[in-house]
Amino acid sequence: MSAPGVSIAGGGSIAVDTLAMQAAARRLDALADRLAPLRGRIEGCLADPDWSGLPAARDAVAEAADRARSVAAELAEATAGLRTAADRYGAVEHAIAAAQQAAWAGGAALAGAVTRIGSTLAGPGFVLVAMTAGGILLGAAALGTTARELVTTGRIDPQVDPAVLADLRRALSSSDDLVRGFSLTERPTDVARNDPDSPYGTAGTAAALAGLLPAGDRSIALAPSVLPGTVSGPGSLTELGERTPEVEPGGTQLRIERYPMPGGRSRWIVYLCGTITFSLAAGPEPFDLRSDVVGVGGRPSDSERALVAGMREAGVGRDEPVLLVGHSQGALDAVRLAQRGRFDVRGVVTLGGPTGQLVVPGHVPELSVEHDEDVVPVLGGLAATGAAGLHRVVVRRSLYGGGPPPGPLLVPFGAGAQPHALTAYRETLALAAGSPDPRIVAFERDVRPFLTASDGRIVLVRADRWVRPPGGRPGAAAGAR
Amino acid sequence: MLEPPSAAAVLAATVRALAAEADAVPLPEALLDGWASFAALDYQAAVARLTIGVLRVRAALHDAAAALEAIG
Repeated sequence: MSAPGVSIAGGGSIAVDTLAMQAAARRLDALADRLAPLRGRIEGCLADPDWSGLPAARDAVAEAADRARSVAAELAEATAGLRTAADRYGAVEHAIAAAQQAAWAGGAALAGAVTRIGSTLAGPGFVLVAMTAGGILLGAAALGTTARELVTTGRIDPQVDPAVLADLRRALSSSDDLVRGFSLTERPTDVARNDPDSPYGTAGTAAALAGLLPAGDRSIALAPSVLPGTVSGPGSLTELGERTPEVEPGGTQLRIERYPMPGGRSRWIVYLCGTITFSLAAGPEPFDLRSDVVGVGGRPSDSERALVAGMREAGVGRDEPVLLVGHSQGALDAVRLAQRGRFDVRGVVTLGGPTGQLVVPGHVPELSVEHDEDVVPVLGGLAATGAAGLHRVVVRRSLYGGGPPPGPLLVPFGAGAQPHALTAYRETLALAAGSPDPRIVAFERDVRPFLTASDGRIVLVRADRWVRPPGGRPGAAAGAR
Repeated sequence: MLEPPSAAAVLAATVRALAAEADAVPLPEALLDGWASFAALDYQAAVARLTIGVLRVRAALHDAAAALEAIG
């Protein structure tokens, strides 16, 4: 059986429940396995020489043999068709998603251009009229969604409504087109592509926001601790999730595992936690909202600098293979590090990261896990389309199967059963780990040397911004300014 | 003294066993309860054809066994 609510995207597919298709193909395989020996025995029976004088009965058995052959052929065809469909059907959906994205972008650009032209012809007041009309439309949509939420769930939880989040994702991804439309600078390629680095794109907007943040030029101080004993490789994708650090104020942000390789080099797995505080000021905690904004903007955030400093402190060489696993902000840092090419990153696993539009180099396999009810991946915008989108394998899951959550979500953001919680992402990664989907199998094959490594040593790293040096180094290492 | 079984009787027993084996093969429609999730594809028709195919295998074997038993 397939895991309920889980689908694999990337490599083509966006929404098709390919796991169920693969499971059905396996069932057909099992049926073929049951039929094959029966078919052999029927044909063996026909070969018996004692059929003389029994033509009618022999004809009936011969008919059974013919039928069994036909069923076997049809089973093989249906199984192959299912597997092909699981692979190719997704490519069609991918194209549809790209078309939807272009439609939203084109609509936004047109709205912006109409507003601009209207304000030129009818005066600046037209902008107010357009904004009021847009506000009324959005308000009506929000009211409808809220009413639907209330009727169907008895509560108002738009922050976990997959439909609301999907619209929000499209709106965020189209906002740059709206602005470019208004400035009459939108080009056809801008509509077709959704580039975060384009003018007014998500990266540029986040970079502009980052420029408004309070000054915070700080060094990073590290407090690494080497755990005694050795550890085996994680063995599975499931265990990668289990080893990812939980968000804990003042606790470990990085877990670095070093596995010896022949020739004296090492293989490394680096696990990163998510956002720990929601401060925009540069306080001691580098895994904060400030780093989220800076990281989305594209500059190295303090949490990314902590990651780099921690890896260097642990001894990661530039040419040594690294697998990165990150939750939330950790996912963003992992993708950014893979993009910058400062280390030999051989794979990235992201859990609930705002990384949909960020493209890692083609030689780096990427597996992303996203929940339909989690707002954080939505903030990453629509998934990259084209070859980049096909490269990124996305495991999607609706935590509540499209229905209401099991209880009120009155828990801290990212905790407990919350859709962004690491525990929920660990569960989804475990469901994907058992998948026969060829894209998951291929990713597991790519990172197998990491999963099956042995004799590893663990370094846990706590990083702080060095806000005010108390006359010396506050930790074991400082750097990465 | 009992007479040895006729060739038809021996074959009847063999074919009846084959028919029982065919009866034990699950029908595709019972296995594929998840078809509804990809209703857009034309696989429901394939399931129906597979189901009919297995039923025909069963029927042909039962017919043969009955014919042989009638003779033997």
